[in-house]
Amino acid sequence: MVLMSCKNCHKVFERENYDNFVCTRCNHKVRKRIKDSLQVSLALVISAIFLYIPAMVYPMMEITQLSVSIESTILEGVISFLEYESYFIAFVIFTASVVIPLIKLIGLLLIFVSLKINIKMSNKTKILIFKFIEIIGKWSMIDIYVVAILASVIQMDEIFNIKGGIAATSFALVVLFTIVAAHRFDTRIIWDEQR
Amino acid sequence: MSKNTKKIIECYGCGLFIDKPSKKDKRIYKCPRCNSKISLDKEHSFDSLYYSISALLLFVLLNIYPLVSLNVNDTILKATLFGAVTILYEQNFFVVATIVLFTTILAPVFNSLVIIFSFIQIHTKIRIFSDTLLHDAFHFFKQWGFVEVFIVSIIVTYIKLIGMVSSTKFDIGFYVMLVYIFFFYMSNVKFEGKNVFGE
Repeated sequence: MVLMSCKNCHKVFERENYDNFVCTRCNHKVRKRIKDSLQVSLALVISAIFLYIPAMVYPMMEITQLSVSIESTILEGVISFLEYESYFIAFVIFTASVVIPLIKLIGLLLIFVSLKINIKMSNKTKILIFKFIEIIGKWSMIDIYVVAILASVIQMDEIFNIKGGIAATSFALVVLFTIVAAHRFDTRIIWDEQR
Repeated sequence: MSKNTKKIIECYGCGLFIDKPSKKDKRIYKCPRCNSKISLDKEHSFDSLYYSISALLLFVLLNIYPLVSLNVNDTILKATLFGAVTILYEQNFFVVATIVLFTTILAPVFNSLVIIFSFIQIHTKIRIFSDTLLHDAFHFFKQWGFVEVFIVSIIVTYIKLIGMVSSTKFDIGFYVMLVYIFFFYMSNVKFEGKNVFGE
């Protein structure tokens, strides 16, 4: 006899084998592990890596003051905070928009690659990295929300106007894809591989 | 010999099945193999219903008042939650606007509604949605509600704006939002999704 539990409602079942079945409580299909979890998460992370490049290179915001438009990328935004001597906010934006997405992408990729290539890292460390990525995931949205609020408040036509830049879409998708990739990944397979 | 599966719980970090700790024991349980936190079933509490209703009412209020306002050449400019979403649609940022709309408005509102409907279905004979739908919806909307990130963004925006326009100030909506976050957070902390199954 083997034990299986429904990932959706957490009900535990005792079964003859690991064949899929329908949960008697929530009616979802119970599987030993989430189907194609690694493949789907890896595909999302690779897509996010490609989107991270335009998100950093292209402007996040376009500020028009007295008919003069200035476009600024995420990094230029951080520099402008430093110029205003708002060091803490510069640190928050740099961490949320540059460091966190990068940690998420590298961390997830490292965990996924470590399942196929022998990397000297304990399973506990992998789980720790993964939990950290899960917790920090949504905080990268700060820059997107800042652009949205600034664009809504500063609307004075040619006198003073703020618009979102083309990097906003790429950046929002990077955040979205990494959150879904982390959510979709079944960490139990980390322990399966080395049994 | 068959096991009492009600006394067993799976660690979703590593897949290890362990004996379910007693509810009376208030310690935080961690998986002996991977050290992940083991979430135990919470007690059924009406508090989450009251917090959800309060959160919904506060959400209506915070949309009436602006979050941040400033004065430029005698023109008063205001930022609201809905305004932040609509301006993105107007500027043709369809994907970004939809993500912002979903994570700051739809997910938190639906999260509170799901909790309220769950209580209605558990304690009355009214059946509007299936138990599975309510359970899944609760966990889905809980995961995608980013209001706490939005409030940090308002503070960052304020600091950015005050560097450009000195008359920038936090408005009533911002303070209502702070209270809203407390009620919203508490409604989720006090609610146990599995209660919708009535077991």
